[in-house]
Amino acid sequence: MIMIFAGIRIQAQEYIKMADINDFMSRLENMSARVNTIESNFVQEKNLSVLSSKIISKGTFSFRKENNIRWEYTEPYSYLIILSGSRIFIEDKSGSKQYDVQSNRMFQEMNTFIKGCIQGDILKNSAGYKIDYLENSSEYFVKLVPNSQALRDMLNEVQIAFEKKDLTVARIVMVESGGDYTKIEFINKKLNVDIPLETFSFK
Amino acid sequence: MKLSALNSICFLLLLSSCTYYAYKQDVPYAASGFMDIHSQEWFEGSTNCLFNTSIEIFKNRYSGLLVIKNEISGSNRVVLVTEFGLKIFDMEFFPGGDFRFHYCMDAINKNYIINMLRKDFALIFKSRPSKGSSVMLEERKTGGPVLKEKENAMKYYFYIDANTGRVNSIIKASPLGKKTRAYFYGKEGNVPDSVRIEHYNIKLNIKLDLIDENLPSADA
Repeated sequence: MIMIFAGIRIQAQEYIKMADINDFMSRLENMSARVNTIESNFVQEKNLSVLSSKIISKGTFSFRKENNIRWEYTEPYSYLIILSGSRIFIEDKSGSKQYDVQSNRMFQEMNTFIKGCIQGDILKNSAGYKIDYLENSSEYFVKLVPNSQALRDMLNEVQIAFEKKDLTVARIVMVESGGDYTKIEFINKKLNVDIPLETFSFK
Repeated sequence: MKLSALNSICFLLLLSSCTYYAYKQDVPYAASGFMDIHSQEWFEGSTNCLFNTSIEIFKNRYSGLLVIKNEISGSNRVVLVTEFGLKIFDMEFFPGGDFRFHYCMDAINKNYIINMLRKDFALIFKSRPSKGSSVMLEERKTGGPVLKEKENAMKYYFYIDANTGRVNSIIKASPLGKKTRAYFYGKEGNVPDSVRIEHYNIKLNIKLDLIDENLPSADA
């Protein structure tokens, strides 16, 4: 049974303008260089204006440098997506399929976006986004508004919260035109644990 | 040239006749004596449900979560989002056949794709024909009851489960032959456990598997 939560706000804490953006960027770059693997659980909330409650899904996330990402949804449905190099592997109830990232524009954008968020590279794309830097006592908080109208038709705004203690991503919020949004919260993060390369292989 | 035209006519006649071969009997529904049809239709009444969904269009495959919400006005809102949460499309089907298109992701925002999706989802919300306008058939292979309805140039065949009285599939056919078939699986309530939509002439398949049939609506 899907779990339903109501009344959770996108931002639970107040943020102020970031005092030292250069320091944040330099810490983020250090983290990116230092961390070779990330393992984490995640909780995803989808808010649709037609529903009074959120659609909650859960799973595990794994990252291994340079280009290996594994998202596995385990509740309330099974869905696996692996991004490895230039290939994408998707497995669900109906079966599994492999694609070349270049074969589908949606996959290209998704691949760039996910990697960009996890490693912070998306913040270097100042030509693609208008970026606001904020913070509170425990988090750096970055708001990105796409410059391209075509992208804005799909995504109005992306918010990424980084933990101040280790610069890992605490959550990503994707706000669509019309106000519907998706919040992905990363919990129980483990850095630099051994994640075998087979985790990202296609069966 | 003449031979080609003759071939075309023969082909059309063959296709047209194929539409009918599977059935016998052809009596008005009201006179058929078959009264044991389930009173509740699929997706009838207050419905807010969530389906695990995959849509195969030609060489592309889209999967995600599909919300079907019955609005107070009686319309059915159909919203598909990817597993990552991004909206793929948002459509609304009104009683009587009207349709409103709220949103479609740029990657599939093509008229022919939207029209096909519109027609396919309209089929699963299609009301059963009234007794006055339909005829009762018997499927030759199984002997099962089939209701036939004409709507403009299209014909709809409602296959009824003889034990439960529920519609378990609908075939939509044009004068050239069968076009689309929707299958419904499930026994209880007004929400099917799964739905399959298949096309006879093009590669477009839709699969819906129920995750939750009782989502709270924003109107509540």
